[in-house]
Parts: sequence; structure tokens; C-alpha cells
Amino acid sequence: MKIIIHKLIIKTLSHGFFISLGVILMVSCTKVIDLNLPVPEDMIVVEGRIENGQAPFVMLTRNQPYFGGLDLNNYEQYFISGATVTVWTDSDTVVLDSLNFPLNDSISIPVYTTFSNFKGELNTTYYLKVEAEGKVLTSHTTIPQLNPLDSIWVVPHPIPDQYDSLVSLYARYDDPDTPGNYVRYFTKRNSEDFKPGRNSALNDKFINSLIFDFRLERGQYRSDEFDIETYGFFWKGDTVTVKWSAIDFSHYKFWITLEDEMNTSGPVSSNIVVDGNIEGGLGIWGGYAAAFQTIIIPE
Amino acid sequence: MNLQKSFLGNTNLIIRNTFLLLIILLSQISFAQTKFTLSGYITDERTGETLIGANVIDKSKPATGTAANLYGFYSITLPSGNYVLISSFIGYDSKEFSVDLDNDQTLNIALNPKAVLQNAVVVEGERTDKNVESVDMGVHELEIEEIKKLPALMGEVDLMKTIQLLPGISTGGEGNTGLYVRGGGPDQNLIVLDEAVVYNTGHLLGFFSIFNSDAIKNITLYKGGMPAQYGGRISSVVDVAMNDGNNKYYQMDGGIGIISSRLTIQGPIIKNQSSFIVSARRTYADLFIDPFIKGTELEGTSYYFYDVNAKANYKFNDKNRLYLSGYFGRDVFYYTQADAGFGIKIPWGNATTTLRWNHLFNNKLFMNLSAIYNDYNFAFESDFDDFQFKLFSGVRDRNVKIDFDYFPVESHQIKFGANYTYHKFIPYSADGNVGEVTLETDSLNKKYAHEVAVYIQDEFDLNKKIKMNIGLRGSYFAQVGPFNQILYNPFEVPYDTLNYSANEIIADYWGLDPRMNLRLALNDWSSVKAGVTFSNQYIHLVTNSSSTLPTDLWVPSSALIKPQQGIQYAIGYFRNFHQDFYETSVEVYYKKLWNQIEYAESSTIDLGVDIENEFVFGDGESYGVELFLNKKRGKLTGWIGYTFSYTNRVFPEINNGNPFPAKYDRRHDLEIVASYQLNERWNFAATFVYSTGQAITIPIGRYFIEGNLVNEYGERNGFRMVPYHRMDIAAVYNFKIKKKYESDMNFSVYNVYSRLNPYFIYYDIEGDVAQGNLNVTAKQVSIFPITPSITWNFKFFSKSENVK
Repeated sequence: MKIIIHKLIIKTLSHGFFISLGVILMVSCTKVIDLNLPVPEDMIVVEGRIENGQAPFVMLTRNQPYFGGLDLNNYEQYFISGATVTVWTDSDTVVLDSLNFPLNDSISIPVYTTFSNFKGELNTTYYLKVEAEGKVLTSHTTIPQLNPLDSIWVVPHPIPDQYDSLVSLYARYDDPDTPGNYVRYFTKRNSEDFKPGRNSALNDKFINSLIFDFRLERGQYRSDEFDIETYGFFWKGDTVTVKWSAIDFSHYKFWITLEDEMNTSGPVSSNIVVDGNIEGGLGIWGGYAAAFQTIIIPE
Repeated sequence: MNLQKSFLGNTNLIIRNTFLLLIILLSQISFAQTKFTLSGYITDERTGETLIGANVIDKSKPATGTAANLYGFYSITLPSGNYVLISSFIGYDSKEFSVDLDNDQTLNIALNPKAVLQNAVVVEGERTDKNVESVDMGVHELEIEEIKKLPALMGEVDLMKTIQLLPGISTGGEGNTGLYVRGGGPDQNLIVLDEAVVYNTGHLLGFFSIFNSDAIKNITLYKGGMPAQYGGRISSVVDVAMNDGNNKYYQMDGGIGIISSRLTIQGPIIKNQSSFIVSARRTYADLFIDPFIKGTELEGTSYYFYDVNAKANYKFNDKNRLYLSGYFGRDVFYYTQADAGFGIKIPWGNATTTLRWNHLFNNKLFMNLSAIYNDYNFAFESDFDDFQFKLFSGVRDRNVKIDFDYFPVESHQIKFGANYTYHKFIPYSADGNVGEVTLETDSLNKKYAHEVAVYIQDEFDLNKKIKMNIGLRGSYFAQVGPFNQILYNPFEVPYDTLNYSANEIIADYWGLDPRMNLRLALNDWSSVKAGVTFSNQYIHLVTNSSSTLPTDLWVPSSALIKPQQGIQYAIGYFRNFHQDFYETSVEVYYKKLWNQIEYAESSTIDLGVDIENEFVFGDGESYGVELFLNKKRGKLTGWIGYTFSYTNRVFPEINNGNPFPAKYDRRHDLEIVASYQLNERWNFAATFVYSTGQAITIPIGRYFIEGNLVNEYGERNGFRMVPYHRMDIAAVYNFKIKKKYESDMNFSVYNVYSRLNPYFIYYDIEGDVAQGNLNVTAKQVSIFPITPSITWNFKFFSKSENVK
């Protein structure tokens, strides 16, 4: 929770200033400009994960020049197919199969996974090698032990008369004695996907070995419409599942730098470089030790 | 590192030679023929204000003489005989007087301010050649009366903005009061107000500085060749002296403008012996905005600031004078969005208090003893639903310093002294609560330190042509407890805590700063000057964004942070034309910086960890040429300054270790300032500035993770915003001067041709990658298009003074 506080501090600091300038001055002008940017070196971006009880899953994409438009016509060029993706542990190895995963009626994208018995296990380190387009990328990650939430419960909205259909969800977490526990959590509402919030990656610096109560943020894609009145809240009648996943340090570093980079903007932005764990490329190969809890919010 | 070691070897050599030279010179002083000393104070006849830097020269030898010190005290020692002396000061009528110097004498001199149109005339013997004659290079003295004629943004004449109009000084752009002097960072400037160090010279948002021009008497800027009496900052010194207060009659000055107003009241407590001055200023933009936003979502949003300068002084007798001065400023910013249950409040404050005692031991030895208290703090409070927090950052200093001016013989002016400061830093501290859970990081981050310095310097004439200023400053800094130093492993997991008790040394550093300046007079109107300055700096401002914000943190040197060090070499040619009507100079400088601090590229501010764990360290270098043309007399006055410079940094952990430009690297920097006194009524002024655009880091590529667009950044500071340029104009109408009352109207237009200079660039992302219609456009935000303003300025006197 304290981590959430500090995230919100940074976010509101930057947004606060950004908004305030526009409001107070009322003399600012915005115009579209043409920036002549250099073309970035071609890099392969790995978006890979392995969860306990699940097969490894990898998507390979490319980086693009910053201002290129993205539309249905060039969508498929953005994904890399025909790559050799290998995952192994000390005892086991698997070469992932490539499949075409349909996004919608017209587009399908190549993804890499396996239908063999190779599945993620707790307390195991997984190595990754990607060979594509003449490049070799490597990485490794660990699925830590499970670190589940103790319990989840419903708390009414602070202004119930005005917002009688909205509620907050709170959770209790009991942090293990050892320092260095990191978590990423997602929430699933009814039949929607598991979505992460704006501050989904947490550490235990303030709460090491403590029992901790805090508010869960309803996950929402950044492209979903942002409504400040309902942001973070759930609705009465929702069935909510929380996926609370333990992750290792470099996996945590990736999400925390990514979220901080995306959460700050305007004159106070600090150009944080996202700290990926892919040797020779961009992106993440991350292990999750996922624990699930479901709650049905009464009407 | 090797360079630094060999440099340190050279420093030792310089230090040893400096000591030797000093000893030889000091010993020469005793071999003197019968000489007597004339000393006293130089003041303004009308108000009793001391005149800092006013001259007393021997009419028969105008190249020699002495200048009044920071308290208006002068002392000149000459062989016994009859002399005709002239005392002069810019803006004042010179005074000539005969002296029979056959014993030590006290002579207090009072000078009369010139009438408005008399600026064109040069009086014989007046010291107008300071540009060429003085040994100081890279020095500018700003005249308050001249500054007040310049165009004002929103009606507020601003000292910091005027300093930014000088060559060698870059700015961070709009809304940024930071000074970047010859490639040095904004924390490398020692800015003092009546001897108190000022940590943040800008009010919130950076549009106004904290200096109220009505309360200020004198501003001296040193951008190179800093005298040894100043230390602790590498790049510059801005020494601002407040007015003491009219000790002859009561006076009320003020101005009423569109956005802000100010009022100053001063007068005698005991006539000719004691006086006070109080200046206050407030903006009221919030009062205009309030009615517009009432009833809307934004009700409760407002911004205002106020500041107060106050001073009192008491002259016990000719040998003792006491001053008490203070500055107190506060900014308050509220932003609310009631519907979302969201509110922010940002209180910001700066307070300094100085108590000073001037004591004359004898007519050759002047002492000042100061006790200073300084408190700068910034808080950020937020209320969001059931969740409140307060983020707090600040610096508090307690400082004692003693400074001596010793005038042993005519050709030597010696200064020596000592300085002790006890610092308390709170880089980041947070309090918060959600429901019943509270957060408090206070104890984690408070840092304490002792900073001590001693110095000695001598300014002397080696011979008729060569004048030198040699100084040595020794400093010591220690970070002390109480403090808990938490040690982290590479996975950011704490593995040990070192506990330090009160005053136990955690880390300490010491250094020697040698300073040397030389002036070689080629003839009466031109000279060559050269200088070397080495400095240690123990406290640092670390900034995490492209603009200076109050959220930028002051941190002390510590176990992890070594002191910054810098050396500057400068050489220049100074020439005056047309009987000192035109001053010109060409200065070339080279500066090397060590132990510069930046945030790591992937650092995320985590309140649970001491911020210094996020820093990385590197070196810097800057060099350039400054051209300056200054016309100080006549109907048309002003200056043109042009700087061509490079400043870059090398950090092993940034930009893959490749050199990158500092964000305020400005290849070209041009300023033109002109002020034209048409007649008794009208004065017109214009300023024009042009500088190469700011260097920023921007994304050059993008990729997607979980459908979110992620920025891939290019070279650090590898992109230039478009050049910054702007013209401002002002017209001042002086109403007819009445016996007890004067006033004028200042019409200013800021940014006359409404150039939309970039304030920042952001990226607007529209569409959705899942639907395949993503589009990114770059947008530039500018503030302050053409902005006119009107200010009415007035002065009331209790006595009929205006008989011009």
C-alpha cells in the first residue's frame, strides 16, 4: 500500500503540475509539430511469460520508428514468425511450436508455446533462447514460491449516496520474513480478461514481514476509456478474481520502470529507460507464481 | 581519474606557490615609509544608504585608489602629504575634496544622486574604467535603477531574468529561474541575499524570482575568478545586498500591476543612526480566476504567492553597527477536482534571517560577524478519496561567519575570514494514510552535516601595470549522525544497517581552493586579464526532469556522494572606447567538472530507499567565448552579449558511456538590451534574446508490451528543440516630479512578436493497437504568447526631497 502511495505521489506530482499549468495560466498554446527523428536500430521485442501450471508463452514483435502509423494493413508485419524459441531448465528442454493465433476475423498473429508436458513449476529457473532473423536473444527468469493474499473483502464507496453502485475491494497480505518479495497482480471482472492496473508491480520494502491491508486497483487496459469517477472501483454484482503473482527481482524491475515511464508525462517527465531482461533485445521473459482468489460482490 | 590525480598534483604546486607568494607580499607590507590612513563610510546624501563599491581615488593618480566594501566602508593609506581626492559612484555626482594627510583621519563621504539626464556627462577623475582597470574578470554589477527600466513580464521587474540577459548565462527556458553559468548546473551558483544562502530563487512554477527589486540595493555577479571569500559552489556567485533603509526621512515606494503589487516602507528609527525597511509583494491572479471557476469542477483551484523583505539597522557609534534582515516568502497552490474527490495543495516556503555586526578595530581593519538562519521547504499535499499524503522536502541551515577587510597599505587589500554552517537536509519525507494505516518516512531520510571554511586573499598591485588577486580557501565537510545508513545488495534488498549517533562522522571530505586572477594593463583603455579558480562543492541539487521544479532535491555529500569539483581557466581582453562610454571585452574560458550527479537511467523514485542510491556519477567539460559590448552612459544605454559555447558530460552509466550534451548546452546565445531616455518624461527599452534550443531526450522508437506503447529512447539529450528567441519592449512614462511624490507608468509587452517558444514536447497517442488504428503525434506546448502589462510605480516621501 505504501508502494501505491508513492506511485500515486509521483503520478499526481507530474499530472498535477501538468494540469495546473494549463489551468492557471490559461495562456498556453499547443500545436502539432514535425519531429525529424533518426530511425532506431532494428530490435526484436520479446513478450514472454511462464506461469506455474501453464505452458511457456512467447510473442515476438519488432520495434518501430516512433511516428509510424499502425493500421490493419501493416499489422502483421509487426510480428515475427518462423523463429526458433527454446526454453529449458536444469533438467528439461523444449522447443516451442509456432501457432497462428486469431485476433479477430481478419488478423492472426504468430505466437510460440507448447502442447507438451512442459509446464511452469514453483521455485524453478527458466532459460530462454530466441533465434530469429539472424539474431540470438537470451534471458532467464524464476518462478518464485507462492505468496498468496490472506483474504479479500468489500468496502463501500466513500460517498455511497452519490455512487451507490460502486465499491472498493481491499486485500490483506502477509509478507514473508525474507526481504525481496515482489508481486504483480491482475483483476478479472466477470467475463473480462485478467487486467493489470496502472501500478500493478509491488515490492515489500515498507512492509517486509508485516501483515498489510490495502486497496486493490481494478485492472484496466490503458486504451480502455478512463473515467475518473469509476477508476479503481468495482460494481456491485461483479464476480472478481484476483491473480496475485509472485515474481523475481528483474521481472519486477521491468514492470516498475515500464509503469513509471508510462505514468509520467509532460514537463516533469523523466525519460526512464525501461529495464528489460532480454540480452540482445527488448522486452521481458517473466516468471509468475500465480495464486487466485475470487469474491462475489453482493448487489 | 588519472587526470584528476595529476590535477591534484598540480593543485599542490599551485597551493604551495600561492602560500609562498602571500608570505612574501605580507612581509613587504611592514617595509613602509610614514603613511597615514583616511577611512570612513560612503553614503547616499539623501537617504543615508551605504554605496557599495563607491570609489575614493587620488586625483593625481587616478589609476589607484580604493573602493567601499559591502558595508560602504573604505580605507586608503597614503604617504603623508596634501591630496585632492575624488569620490565617485555610478549614478551619483562625484565629489572632490582636499585632505591634509598628516595623521590618521576619518572622513565620511555623502554623494548626491545625479539628475536623470546627466548620465551623459563624464566628470574628470571619475572612475569609469572599472571594466579595464579591475582585476576581476567575469564580473557584472547590475544597477537597480537601470533594471527597473527594462521590460517586465506581467509587470514584475525581475533580477534573475536580468541576470539571464548577460553573456555566459544560459536559461532553462520559460518557467525556469535556474541559472546555468558557463556550462555549470543550477546548483553551482552561490546566491546570497544579505549573506544568507538562497536555495531556491524562484517562486513556484519559476516565473517570478524571490527578489523584490524595491528592497535590493546592489547585485554583483561573478561568473569566473570567484574571490576566495566565496566558496562552496563551482560556477558563479550572485551577491545580492538589500537596502538598509532610508535613515533620514520616511519613504513609501510601490507598484500596482495587473498580476501583482508591491509596497515598500522605509524610514529612520533614530534619524541618521538607525532605520528600517519593509518590502512586501503579492500576486492576486487567484482573485481574478476565482469568480470564473466558482461552481465548476475546478472550484478551489488557485495560486498565489507573497513575499516580505524586512531589515533594521542601528549604528551604535562610528565603530559599531548592527543589522537584522530577513526574507520570508510563501507560495500556495491549490488544485481541486471536487467530483473526483481529488485535491492537491503545494505550499512552498523560503525564509532567511541574518543578524550582522560590523566592527571597526581601527581605520585599517574592518570586521563583519554574521549569524544566519535559513529555511527552505517544499511540501506536496494530496487528498484523494480516503487517502491523504504529504510529501516534504527541505533544507535548514544555521550559519556563522566572520569576515575581515584589512587595508594595510594603499596597494594591498586583504580579506580573510571563516565560515561555519550546520546543515539539515530532508531530501524526501512522506506522511500518508489510507483509512487507519499510516506511512512515515521521516526518520529514514533526515541528514545532517557540518561545513567549515577559512580563507585569505590579497588584491594588490605588483607594479604599475600588473594587479593581482590571490586567494586560498580551505574547506571541510562532514555528514554526521543521527542517521541510519541502509546498505543494499544489487537486488535492492537491504542487507545491513549502520547506525550513527548524533554528530558521529559518517563521511567527511576536505579540500583546498586556490584562486588567482591577474590584470595586465596595456594602457589606460585596455588590459588583458587571466585567472584560474578551483572549487569544491559539498551540496548538490539533483534534478529528474527537463525543467527545474521545487521537487528537485538538495542533498549533501555523503558516503555515496563525493563532493563536486571544478576548475576554470579564463583569459580575456578588455577595452574601453570613447572615454569609457563603451566597454567591450572578449573572454575565453575552459571549465572541467568532476563528480557530477545524475539519476540513473532506469531509476524510479522509491520513497522507501534513500534517494542517493539512485544516483550515478560522471564528469563534465565546458568551454566557450563571450563577447560583450556595454554602453553605460548617454541617452542610449545597454549592452550586447554573445556567447559561443559547448558543454557536455560523460557518465559511464548513461548513454552507454558516450559523451552527451548537457541539457542546457547552448551553442549560441545572443542578448541585446537597449534603453533610451528620450527626455525627462519618456524612457523606452527593448530586449532581444536568441539561443540555441534546449537539448532533450526523446523517444526515437516504440514497441508494444501487453498492448501498451512503450518508448524506446534515443541518445541522451540527442535532440534539440527549436531555437528560443523573443523580444520584449517597454515604455516608461515619468510623471512630473512633485516635492513629496514621484511616479511612473511602465507599459511592457512581453514576447512582442508572439514567438511560440517550446515549453515542453509531449506525445499524443490516439487509437488502439488492438483495433489497428494507432497514431502518435508530437505536440509542443508553449506558454506566454504576447503578454502586455501595465504597472504604476510610485514613491512618497515625508520630506520635500525632490528639488531637482
